[in-house]
Amino acid sequence: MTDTEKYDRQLRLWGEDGQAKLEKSHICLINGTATGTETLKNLVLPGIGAFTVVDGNKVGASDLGNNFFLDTTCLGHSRALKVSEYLRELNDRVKGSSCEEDPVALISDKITFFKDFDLVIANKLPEQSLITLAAYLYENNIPLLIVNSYGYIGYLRIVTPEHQIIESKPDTPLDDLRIYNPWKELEVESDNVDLSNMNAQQHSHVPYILLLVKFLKEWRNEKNNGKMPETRAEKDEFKKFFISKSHNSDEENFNEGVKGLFKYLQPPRVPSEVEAILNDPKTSNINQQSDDFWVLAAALKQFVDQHKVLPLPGNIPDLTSDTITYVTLQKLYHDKANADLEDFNTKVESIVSNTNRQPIPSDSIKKFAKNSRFINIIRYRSLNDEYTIPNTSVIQSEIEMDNNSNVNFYLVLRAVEKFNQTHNRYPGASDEDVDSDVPLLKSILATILSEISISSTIVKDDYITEIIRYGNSELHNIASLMGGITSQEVIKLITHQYVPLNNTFIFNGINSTATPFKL
Amino acid sequence: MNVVVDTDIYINREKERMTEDKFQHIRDCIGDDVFEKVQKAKVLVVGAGGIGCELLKNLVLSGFKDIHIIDLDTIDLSNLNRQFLFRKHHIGMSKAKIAREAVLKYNPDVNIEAHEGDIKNQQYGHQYFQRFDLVMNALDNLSARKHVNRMCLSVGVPLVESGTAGYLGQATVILKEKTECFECLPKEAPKEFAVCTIRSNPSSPIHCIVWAKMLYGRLFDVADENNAVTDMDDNIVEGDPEKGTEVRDTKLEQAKAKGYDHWVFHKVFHTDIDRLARMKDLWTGKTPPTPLLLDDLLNNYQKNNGNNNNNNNGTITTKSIALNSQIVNSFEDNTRAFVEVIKKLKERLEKDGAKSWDKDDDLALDFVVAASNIRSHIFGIPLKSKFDIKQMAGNIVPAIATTNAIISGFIVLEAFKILSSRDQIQEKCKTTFLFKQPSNKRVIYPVSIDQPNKSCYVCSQTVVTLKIDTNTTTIGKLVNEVLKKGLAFHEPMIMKGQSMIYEGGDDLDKEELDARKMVEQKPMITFGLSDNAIIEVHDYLQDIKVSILISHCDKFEDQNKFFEVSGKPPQVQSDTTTAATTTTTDGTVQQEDIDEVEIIEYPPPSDGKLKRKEREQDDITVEEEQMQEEQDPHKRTKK
Repeated sequence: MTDTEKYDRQLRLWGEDGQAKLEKSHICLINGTATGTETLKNLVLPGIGAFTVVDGNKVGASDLGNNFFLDTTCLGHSRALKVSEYLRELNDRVKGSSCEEDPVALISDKITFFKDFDLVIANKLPEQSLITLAAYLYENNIPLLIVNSYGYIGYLRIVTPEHQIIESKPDTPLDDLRIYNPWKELEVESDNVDLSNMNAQQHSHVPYILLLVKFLKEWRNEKNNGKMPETRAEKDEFKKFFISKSHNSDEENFNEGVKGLFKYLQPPRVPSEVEAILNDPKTSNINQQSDDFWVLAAALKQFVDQHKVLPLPGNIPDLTSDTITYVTLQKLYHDKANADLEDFNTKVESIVSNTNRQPIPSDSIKKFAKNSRFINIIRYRSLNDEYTIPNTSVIQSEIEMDNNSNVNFYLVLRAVEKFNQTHNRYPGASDEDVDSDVPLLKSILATILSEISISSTIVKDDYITEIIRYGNSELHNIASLMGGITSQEVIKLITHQYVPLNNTFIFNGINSTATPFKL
Repeated sequence: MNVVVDTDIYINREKERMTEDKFQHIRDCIGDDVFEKVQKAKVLVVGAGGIGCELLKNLVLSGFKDIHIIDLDTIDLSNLNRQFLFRKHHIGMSKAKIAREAVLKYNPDVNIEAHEGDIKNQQYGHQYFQRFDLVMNALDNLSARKHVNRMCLSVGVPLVESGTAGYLGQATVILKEKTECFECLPKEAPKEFAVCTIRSNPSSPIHCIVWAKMLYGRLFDVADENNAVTDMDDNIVEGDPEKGTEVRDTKLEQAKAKGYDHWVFHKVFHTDIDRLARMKDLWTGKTPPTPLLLDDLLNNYQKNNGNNNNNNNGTITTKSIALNSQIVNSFEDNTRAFVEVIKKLKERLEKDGAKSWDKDDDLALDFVVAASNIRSHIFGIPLKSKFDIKQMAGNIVPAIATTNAIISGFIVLEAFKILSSRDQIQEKCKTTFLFKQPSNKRVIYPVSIDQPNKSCYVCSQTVVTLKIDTNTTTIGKLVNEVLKKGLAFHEPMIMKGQSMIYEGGDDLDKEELDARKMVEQKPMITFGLSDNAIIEVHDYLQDIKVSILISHCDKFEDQNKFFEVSGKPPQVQSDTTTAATTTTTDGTVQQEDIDEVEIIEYPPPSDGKLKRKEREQDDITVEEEQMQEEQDPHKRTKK
């Protein structure tokens, strides 16, 4: 049982289902830097199940200047231990542990250490170890978030082979009301509306849904040989026809109908994201090992093949109506949604029994059917692909469009990591190296650019001097901001709600811009 | 990487490095000159809640050393999912004070002054605001934000204004004469409902919830002449007593004799419903609602319970009922809860006096849950869970740590810019919007800040036209409903020419107060506030002076309104700080946006101007909308 009082404000965002998923998750943080600690802080507060901090470093002076939770008493102690101690204080419902081993050694000697986590957040991990870890987690279907901040610049990369979203929760979803394609009962209900026998009060309280269905049918039969209005002219004509049926311009129900009119004259269609899922080879290849998601998608495909529409969600918007008609209409939609769900359910069950797999909980089936317009899937490129088969065209077009694009920082940060891999230190980390590091970093960048097949002169030297100026130091404020962004994406990934970033995100605190790239 | 060193040597070396400068990395990044300004700056953080906690941490770790923080609120359990400076044992204590202690524990070398108080209080006047180099709002209610906006404008101190709601957030910068102010653009008005929908013709749960809150106000809060939800002694259900045609509900008297619970139940769920059911026009061709009789219901429950349990001892007892938060309780449970809660509230009223409705007052919440659900049942509207009703009745906005962390980061970035280039704030600073998910592929959207809106009555000299019935509107109503609630004045003073008509505030002696009370009761016309008169309204605390042209009007298109302001459309907002649904400002029942409500202006689709109107255009077809969305995002932001 979750703590509904304490979590009240977030339960209203992701619901008990989202909360349960969070509380079941065990998250690993590699390196308790300011950015890492701030990220984990924002996950401990809303109550993930457990976390483990892996960090071989001892707390040093630079930590105290940018990590809020570390004070002078922590100096010389294990950073993994101290960070997890302080984070545990934030929420007594979260289990926290620490691993004082060097993550680099852990990855090379005992990579299976990471196999039981639900998600891993990696921070300031040397390139080679990062690539090894990323490949391992990708294979094991464990999401990895790489987050780093350097001075004013933040970097985030999400890596996971396939992320399924059932509730994408778009900002302005269109209500599926079937005005264009009413089912029998809705059509009968609208046929029964007899405006001629109504007084003014009643006339202005017939729900616009019924009005639209009724007059659309009337208009088609009287004016358009039974055809739907297709051209703009026809739609305008129908609009005039509809308005002519109102008593005056004060009738709110008619006004509501006019407001939504053009939307409802669109032929119903399956959204392209959903279409892509239905046509995915995985839906025609269901076996015992298939995820619930794909079993449900396969059933949805059958449903759409048969009915040409998605299951009706069944909720209707607030609209002008008298109470009783509203409730009747609500029930009409509710009943149809239930009938659709039942049909969908039958299809799911038959797939389940044909493939001899575990049954799917009825709550999940219902959630899927209700949200079928909003399902989505993201397939992230692997880190290995990003490095070995670079997405040159994206980078090229970014820079061509704007030679000050944040993609410059992506390229320079790639060089910074390579520098660290080569020299075992970050460029500009100590004052005496600042000047001599410039040509070193520049030549590494040139190599990377040639690997990506991009002109080596394309990145201005300013970017190199800027990043060297930061000398691998974290600004707390940027660390905190990146921690906020990263944890927000973690929550989206764990709850399978909302659409997360895909796949690289560069934050630029110099001019407060942020750009996602698909690399 | 890990060289084995003697721990003591290591610690000493690190301590030494620390005393040298633990902020060397910040100097490296932002430059010595800006860092010096940061170290010297005196800043004010208004609010120690979700944003305030994050912001205080960020400021201290960015090198700020002189920080004032103010909040009037105390710590609540539901804060702990994001306000990370607080623990369970702090519940009930001052947010500002605990936030200060928590930060000092980790960072003893900064100076933080904490105030447990209301920023609108007179003690935080011009002299107080003037001493800051920068003010940062971390507030959750409109009236305080408007007030701080005006205070900062009046003393010319830069203000970073921010807000979050769920996954959404924004931060921006305001400076007198350089940027638009908080009130240059109208804020989205809270949803309003017509009085007749609430009283006679509810069609969704929210209508019943608003009604239930009004009923709470009528029964358990101080008397409010505008609250006409029901008249407890009126038993007329049809007809006109003056014509002798009235029909009365004679059972009301009997119910009253049985106790307060029976009386209220009978009045609002029988007498009032009966009256509505008899209005034939409302129900032609439909089934009118059925009035409820409490005794019948209780007897029925008793019978059913008895049959089920085989344990009927013949007496009517009401089993104690606790409303479950998450599930939708049955009509029976709601009825039982209503009876029980109303008794307790009556006892409390007699013992402790009137109390405003508050979502965190469990008894008051249970009342609204039970009453609204019973009313929904009567009108065939679906019942709701306590969890959902709390959100709707309390205007609860979801709040999480992540969003606050991001927005606080932006606030500090803007603070750096303000301190480093005070002369170019409008050019350098940005308004930043945070989306809940990639929109046009972006989650963060910076736009440039506009210059002051020439027609803003707050930051530009603009004459506002007020349409109002000057014959019937009293000065009291003008001050409370129009000037305070409508135009967000704190302590308005009304001048007509050289003569002062009304003076607000509480530093008046008894004689002056009595005189003011007399003035409040008289209609505007008495003082020459008639058609075409021009008045000036001053507020010394906010240092604002607005000229208002009065235009007499006794018929409003919208029957629920009694005044209209134009010239610049200021938002009609209530000024109360407790959660309540009241019949306010323009006479319509309004869900106030108070407590935790953080206003989000939705970011523009393309070029930095808010185009809310455009979004509402009816004839953008779906295809056209999608085409707009599919346009390359970079082409839009590149300027």
